[in-house]
Amino acid sequence: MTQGKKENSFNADVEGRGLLGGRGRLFLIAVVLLLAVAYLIYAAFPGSTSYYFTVDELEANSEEVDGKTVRVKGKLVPESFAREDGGTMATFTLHAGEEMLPASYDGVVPDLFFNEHSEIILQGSYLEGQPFHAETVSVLCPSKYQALEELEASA
Amino acid sequence: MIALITTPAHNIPYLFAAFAITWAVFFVYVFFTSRRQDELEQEMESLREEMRGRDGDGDGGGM
Amino acid sequence: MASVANSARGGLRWNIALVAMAAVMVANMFFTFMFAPTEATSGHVQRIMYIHVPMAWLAFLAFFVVFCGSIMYLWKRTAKWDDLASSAAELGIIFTTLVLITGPIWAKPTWGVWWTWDARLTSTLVLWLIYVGYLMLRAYSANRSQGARFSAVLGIVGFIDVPIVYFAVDWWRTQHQRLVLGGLSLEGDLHPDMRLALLVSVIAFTLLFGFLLRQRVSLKRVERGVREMREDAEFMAEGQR
Repeated sequence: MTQGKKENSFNADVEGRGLLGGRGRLFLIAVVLLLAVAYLIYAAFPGSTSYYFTVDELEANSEEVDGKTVRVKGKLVPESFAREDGGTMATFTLHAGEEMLPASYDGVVPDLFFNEHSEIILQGSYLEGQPFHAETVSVLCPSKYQALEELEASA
Repeated sequence: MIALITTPAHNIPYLFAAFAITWAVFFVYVFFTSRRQDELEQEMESLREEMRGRDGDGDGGGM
Repeated sequence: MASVANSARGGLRWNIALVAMAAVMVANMFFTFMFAPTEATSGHVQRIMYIHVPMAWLAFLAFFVVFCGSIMYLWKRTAKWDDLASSAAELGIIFTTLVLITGPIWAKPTWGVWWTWDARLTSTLVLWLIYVGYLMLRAYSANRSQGARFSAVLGIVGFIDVPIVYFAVDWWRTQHQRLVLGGLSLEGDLHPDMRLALLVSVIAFTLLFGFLLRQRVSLKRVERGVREMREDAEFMAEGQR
């Protein structure tokens, strides 16, 4: 008998809380969750094989992506960074191999922007033949984790 | 030209924040489970009292 | 029932274990802040790794426990497997939340952005949503056994996202480096002392997970016991009327 009651407590009905009954609410949650997950997958994955173009890929596909918002990855051309006098507008050039992409960005760039091992990802709308104006700048960090103390000692 | 900064000292607050938040979350979690445990122990005690009182009344339950 | 409550807290052995746990955590802090060398390119902020990576590992481990517990529950239909799975899911959500908090805190000073919709970040957010859904499913089910059954199915199916999160950096282009850790890592390089510090941290937090899981499971058991006692009491009260 006690066993039977235990089973009941586990099956005890908790329906009728709130506006919707158990099943209705369950259905609603399932739909909302599915929509959220589907949207996120839609937002991130179709383009994720090309989360970014490299500078040379961008040049190769310039007609297709003209006028579209894209991400582009490249390395900073050393000494190419310059800031407008008294302004916040910065101009610089990214490269992938031989291909060069002149770019501009209005704002503060991340610390690791200038690190020689960093790769830079710009996001903005690409207009063929014009410098790439980045709305956001992010840095893809080198996958080497080295000890500062050792580098300083060897320097 | 902006100088290359290898170890930016202004990044220390980020490090502090990451550790402080993580530990705060753990402590809050332990606090709530621990409080829930106290509540349950109290409730168990009062239920036991209640049942003992009823057993004393006479016929008792089928425990 | 009192013995169940006591086993969760109190008791000499439990207290000794707690002190040992605290000592391991202090050692972990030593490894994180003193032993591990400062990273050459991003500086001290890289030490966030010693909390971010263990949290991600624990999230995976917790959801693996959910996966196993769910299979066992659907097979055996005993409440203890449901207790294990649902406790691990709760902890897994906490770990995933911490991954999603410490990640942006690390990303801002290194990548320059708090968040980006790359495959790893998005799949991690999906992971979080799946297991929040798991708990909501339980909370709003018509009855407990239905909630346990439905959530067990989600706990098995939802686990598919764990390998997706892990391999996302290899399968797609993302903001992350490709796999740096684990036997499957293809490129990347972690200084041996950093590797050791990370290992210590992973072990320490895994122990903590063990403690929290044990605590949570026994709390669930007590919760069920109290519920049954209350029902017994109500049943008796009804019988006396």
